[in-house]
Amino acid sequence: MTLDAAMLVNRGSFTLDASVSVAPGETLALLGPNGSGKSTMLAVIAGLLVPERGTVSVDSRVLTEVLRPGGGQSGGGRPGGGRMTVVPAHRRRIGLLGQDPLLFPHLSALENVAFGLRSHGMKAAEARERASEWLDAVGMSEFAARKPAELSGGQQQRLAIARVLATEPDVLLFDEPMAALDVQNASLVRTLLRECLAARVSATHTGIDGRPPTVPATIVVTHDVVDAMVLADRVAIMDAGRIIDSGDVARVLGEPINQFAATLVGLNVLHGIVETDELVRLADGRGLAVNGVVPEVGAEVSVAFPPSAVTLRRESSGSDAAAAVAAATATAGPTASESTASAPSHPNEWHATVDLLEPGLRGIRVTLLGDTVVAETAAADLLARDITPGDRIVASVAASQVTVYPRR
Amino acid sequence: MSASSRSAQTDRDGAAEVATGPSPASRSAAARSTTAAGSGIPRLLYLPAALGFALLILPLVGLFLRADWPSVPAAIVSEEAQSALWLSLQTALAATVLCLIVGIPLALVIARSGNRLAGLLRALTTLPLVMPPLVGGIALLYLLGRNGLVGSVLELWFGIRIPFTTGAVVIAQSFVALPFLVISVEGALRTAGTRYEAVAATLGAGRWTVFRRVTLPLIMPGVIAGTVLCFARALGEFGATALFAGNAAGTTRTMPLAIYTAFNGAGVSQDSAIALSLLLVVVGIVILLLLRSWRPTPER
Repeated sequence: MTLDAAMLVNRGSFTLDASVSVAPGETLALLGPNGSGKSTMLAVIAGLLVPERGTVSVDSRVLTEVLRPGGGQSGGGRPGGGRMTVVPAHRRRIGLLGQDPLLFPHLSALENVAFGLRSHGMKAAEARERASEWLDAVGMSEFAARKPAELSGGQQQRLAIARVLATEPDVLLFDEPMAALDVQNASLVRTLLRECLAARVSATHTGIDGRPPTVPATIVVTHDVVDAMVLADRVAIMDAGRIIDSGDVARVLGEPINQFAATLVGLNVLHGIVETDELVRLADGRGLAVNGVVPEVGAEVSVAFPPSAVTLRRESSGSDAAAAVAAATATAGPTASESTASAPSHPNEWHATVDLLEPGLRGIRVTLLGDTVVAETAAADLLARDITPGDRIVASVAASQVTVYPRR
Repeated sequence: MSASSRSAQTDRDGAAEVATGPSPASRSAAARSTTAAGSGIPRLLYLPAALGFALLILPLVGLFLRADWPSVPAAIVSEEAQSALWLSLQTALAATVLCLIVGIPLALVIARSGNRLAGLLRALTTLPLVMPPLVGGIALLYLLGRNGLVGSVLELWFGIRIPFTTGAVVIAQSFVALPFLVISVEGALRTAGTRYEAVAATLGAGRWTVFRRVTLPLIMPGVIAGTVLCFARALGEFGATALFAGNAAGTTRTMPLAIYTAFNGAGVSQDSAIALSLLLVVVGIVILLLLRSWRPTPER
């Protein structure tokens, strides 16, 4: 089933203005920070929220249609006032799984999974049988009689996955399904979800409610780039209620279009112009040596590199060229602030002042004063080099770690 | 969620403690162990707490002490007492059922209304709480009496006369007891929120199914607490009943009215009033304990 949705939602100062389209069997990851409108979008698609304007349809079935009164679109052919169609949530065949599993606390694991089937009019015995197959599919058979409160967070979420998949919805919406879990459970649930999404076309779906089995379209909302990598075929990046970039996972995650997207996917991104096939002149005048495939000379490009590709050392340390220059131009090493003015001799090195040390994904994340570039390195490394906030440092990037791509 | 389960836990503990009727020794032992566990109540607060407890319990103790025990059995098994007790139980039960039927939907409407409307509805619903029951009785009389707004229509068109009937007792009791049920249930609904209902809807459950299989079970602890309060209030109701239903033996003379009659009655000793009071207290306690110990299968 193909999902098409376009919507405008105003919530005080926040405006969500976005559209998505997801093909049958496809998984779209909506990536964005908290408050970017991802969950609001899902609520509109699920029928829990009526937008100011918008349409939601699954194949030819129109689920939400709110057209601006007196607007150009006068179609629909319904009598006056029929500009608004909002199919209630329970008739949409759209499954929603959030961060909180929200299992019904008064029902056993089995009854929770059977709930949706029963609601679709299935007989109790058949629903239970089907539910226990689903429990099996998510590895929860032995917990069939347990109440949700007797299960761990990871088990609850697995159960919730079984519960939503059992209803065989046309569209599956996952809203940060791993966000409330610890790292280990998140990884287990992510793997399960990946398997379920891969298998959704076959085996488990046998059709309920007198309908033939369907191939659902799936949206996974997340602020975790790992979810997008593992689960999605396509990624859309949301910022303040708008989709700022979307496309193939590798492209969107590997070639961020701006600083916002770069931060989200965990890369540094800078913009510039190709000077030679080995050098990009950045907007601030710095040169950056690159290798590999580079667009033609004069092209506007973006360059991306991971924080772990940035190495830091103290300005005063070692016998490297930059330190030698610094030592030559100033008497006291650490206070040689004049060296900021003179670009370092090596194109991929620059001077900066350490701003903050924060926990990063693989060690300590180091931000630099007045610079968007961040570095990430092992704590032991920082200790060995005696780098602390406020220190003058030399940052360098290996040319081999830099990706160059046309600016969009 | 953890907070609500904790309160349910303490509720259950509280009920269990009352049910087993611990000796003073075991009670103080329990108190010591709680303090040791670091509940951290300032010691000074035990004084007002004890005073409050005394205020609630000592009058009942006085009643027990004042009772003329040899004459109690006779007073209790008397025709008069039995009929009043039976009427009280029947009417209080009927009023409670009536309150459940209209109260849960009313609570649902209030809980799911916008803030301003909910505030208005809640204020109006709790009005009987701040009104003296006597005033409620007068108001009911003016509404449903023979010359009342609705009463005259009922009598003229249907030949139905409500005041001074057993039905009037039930209505009077419902009038004073309903707010207790609505407040408890509405609180439970607000605590439960709408998230489970939304999930149930996305699983394909229609509104009735959601109400029956999700909303009601989720708010059941609140419904039970409300039912207990509601029944207790109905059982003890006096003022509104006296004015609206009168004091006719067998049809409207409930226990509170029988006690009042015995206490003021010419030639009847006050001993029988005390005996009836004791009976009402004991019956009330037994019913409350039964209701409190009955819970749907433990939820968490």
